[in-house]
Amino acid sequence: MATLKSTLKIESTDIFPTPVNFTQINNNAVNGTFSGFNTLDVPANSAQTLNFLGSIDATGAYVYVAAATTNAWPVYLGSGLAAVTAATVKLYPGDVAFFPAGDSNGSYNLNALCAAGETGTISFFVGEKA
Amino acid sequence: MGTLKTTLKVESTDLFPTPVSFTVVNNNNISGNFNGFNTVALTTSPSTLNVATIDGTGCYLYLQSPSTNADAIAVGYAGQSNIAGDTGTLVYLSPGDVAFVPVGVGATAADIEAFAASSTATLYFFIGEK
Repeated sequence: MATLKSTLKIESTDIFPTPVNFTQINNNAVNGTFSGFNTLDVPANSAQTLNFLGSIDATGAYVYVAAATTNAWPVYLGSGLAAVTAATVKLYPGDVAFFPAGDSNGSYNLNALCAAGETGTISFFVGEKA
Repeated sequence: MGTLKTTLKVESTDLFPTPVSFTVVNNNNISGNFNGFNTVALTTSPSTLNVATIDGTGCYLYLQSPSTNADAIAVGYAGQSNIAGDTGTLVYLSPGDVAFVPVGVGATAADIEAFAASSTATLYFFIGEK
């Protein structure tokens, strides 16, 4: 087992009546299959599997995804993704996401896709939970 | 409009052959509807998190499952999220997990739902439209 430590700091001085500033630190135990930090060119209308080493089991996986700032279009993520209309994550250029993905059924696949005529590049990591 | 500044630091000393540590800082523009930091008590029936339907531009979503939860939480788009299947589940939070995700379904407006995997759970969250 190994640890992926994540520190997420959220701040805003102008969204709320009172400024918000807090930090959440997690030591995320990664116990199963994990990928390195990879770069992937995402084509149009052709779903790419991020968990390329195997389906994510029912415990889920920690996922880090960043869309390159040089992208011209959004990159979409979803489970068993066949079209952007079924996407759940929409990363505009420069966007970053960190989330636990999966479902109780296991055999979860996380896909990346771009819309017709669009492409993008992402860097990502997928690590199965303990 | 306001800015939600996020700082995400990812570190590991034992997951890879070489220690990893990097930080990504984003100033995320919130220009549409937003929901303050709220707590919702979840059951196995989906609860809608957004105050108004999320437009095609998408939104930023912060999620936190308190460590006192005894059940996992699934978050996805209305009509697509199905914890027992492999379609549409966006985030699957174990107790103590945290997520920050930009979400969107193509150019389609949609609601975001959350529910407890098998019993009840508490979710702390923020939604802000891009």
